Amino acid sequence: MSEIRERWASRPAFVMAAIGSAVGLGNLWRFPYIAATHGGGAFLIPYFVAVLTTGIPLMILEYGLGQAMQGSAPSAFRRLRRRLEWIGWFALAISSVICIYYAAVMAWCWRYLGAAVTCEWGATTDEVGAFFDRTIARAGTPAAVSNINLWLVLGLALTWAAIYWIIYKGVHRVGRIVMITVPLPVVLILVLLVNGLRLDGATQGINYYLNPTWAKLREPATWLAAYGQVFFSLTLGFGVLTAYASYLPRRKDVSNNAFITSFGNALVSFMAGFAVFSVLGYFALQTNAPINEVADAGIGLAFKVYPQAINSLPPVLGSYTHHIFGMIFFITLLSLGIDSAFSLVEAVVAGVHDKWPHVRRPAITGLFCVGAFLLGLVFLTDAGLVWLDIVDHWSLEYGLVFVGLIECIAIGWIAGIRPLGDAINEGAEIRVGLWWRVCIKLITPALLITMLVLNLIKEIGKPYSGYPVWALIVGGWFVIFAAATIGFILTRTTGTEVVE
Amino acid sequence: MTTGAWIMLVIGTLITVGGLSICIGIAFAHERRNRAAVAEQPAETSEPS
Repeated sequence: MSEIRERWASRPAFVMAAIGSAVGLGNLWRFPYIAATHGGGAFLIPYFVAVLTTGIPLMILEYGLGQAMQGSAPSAFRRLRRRLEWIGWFALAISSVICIYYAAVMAWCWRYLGAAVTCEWGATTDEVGAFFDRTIARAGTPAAVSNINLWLVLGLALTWAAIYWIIYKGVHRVGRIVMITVPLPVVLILVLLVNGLRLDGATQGINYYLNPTWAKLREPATWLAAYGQVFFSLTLGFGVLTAYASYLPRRKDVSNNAFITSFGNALVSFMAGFAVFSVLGYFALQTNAPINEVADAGIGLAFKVYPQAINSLPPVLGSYTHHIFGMIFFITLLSLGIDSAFSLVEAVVAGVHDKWPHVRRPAITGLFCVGAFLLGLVFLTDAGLVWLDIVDHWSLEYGLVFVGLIECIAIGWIAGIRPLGDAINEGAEIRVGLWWRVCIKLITPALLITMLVLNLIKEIGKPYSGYPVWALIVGGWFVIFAAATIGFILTRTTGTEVVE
Repeated sequence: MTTGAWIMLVIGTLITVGGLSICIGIAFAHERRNRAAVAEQPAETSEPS
């Protein structure tokens, strides 16, 4: 018995889901900092070159594969060549690891959202730092896997409950939810941006963000940072795009959808830079510190610098100003994160359901969410931030880059890129041709190999972030090895899918 | 703001907003053409042979 594949309710539902998956925490807390420290406005040039030569081509490939094969990543690769199924499972194993710690980061956001109601993080820089140390940084050693924070457990449970509720019924509900979760953070970023632009010192902040340093374009590090940002930001190599596109009927456009997703993602990143740096410019002015000293990225920006900056805001909304902007900021982070998180889970659920269609979706989703919740508890212990940092570094810099590389090799050099290109062109609004084949066969693999090799060289020279080697082996290499092994085991396992 | 920052602000806005608008425009144009093609089809098939 062959089940009829579920479909997106409309094209906007698919596009919004894809944009929601791409637009995540990194757009707000990574892009602005990377841009500012790699040439400011000049960074836009390598960034858009990277979007056109790697981001969009690889996105078209993943969309095209899912749509043409009408299957999630493992199923699509299996239908292409039996022995390539492993790539899909490896991608999903890495995605599973990523969504486990991503949900932990969202648990921190829930905690800070609660703290914003009463400005519990304190009024002074020291108090904010102490709250961060108490809530997130904590022991800071990998051996301290104990003392789980119950507030964070509640946040983690909320996150997984939301993910389960959104995806257990299938993409119809996802299509409805993204109509709220995609525009909401954009509106909230606009609110932060408008407020930020009114502040003294905002101009200095924006100058730091956008003033071009052209000499940086001669540095390979700038170009690698741009390619890295594009690769990680567009959810490439996760198997998400393949799963999402598998719910599109054949002979419908995917190439223009890839352009829309990529430009939408770039627009949110570009806009977020103003929201972040206008406030940081003001904060720098208030504290008499150079902007480059207060500027930060990632967890440091979201949970340390931004709450301090919020504390320093003038009381435009009376005595509740800090509470309101604190809540707006953390609701923005939560709404940015949730659709990226559930897209990762959807990719895994679709992969398992495609291979074992007799197992019901709610059961797969429930089992995965409970398992991921339990595994995620490790990131809420005193050693949580350390393990999160290590697992994040290895999953992204090695796991995903490797998936992207083998995808390009598998399609470009083994399975043949022309048949997939022809399938994509059947419904294409923007036809793919030589430029796409050159990007997939040569440019993207060359860049991904360069990223892998440079990271390996860096790793050999100095242990990552000065962590003990045993922790790097367990949280880094072992996780990658386990993901690869799971991929092999699942490939060798016989499913119940009816092969047409 | 410095002149360089202004220039990059304009370039960044043009590429992101412009790129997105063009792609959405292409999508709308195709949708309209497809709908028009579907609307024409029954008229052709209903002609007496």
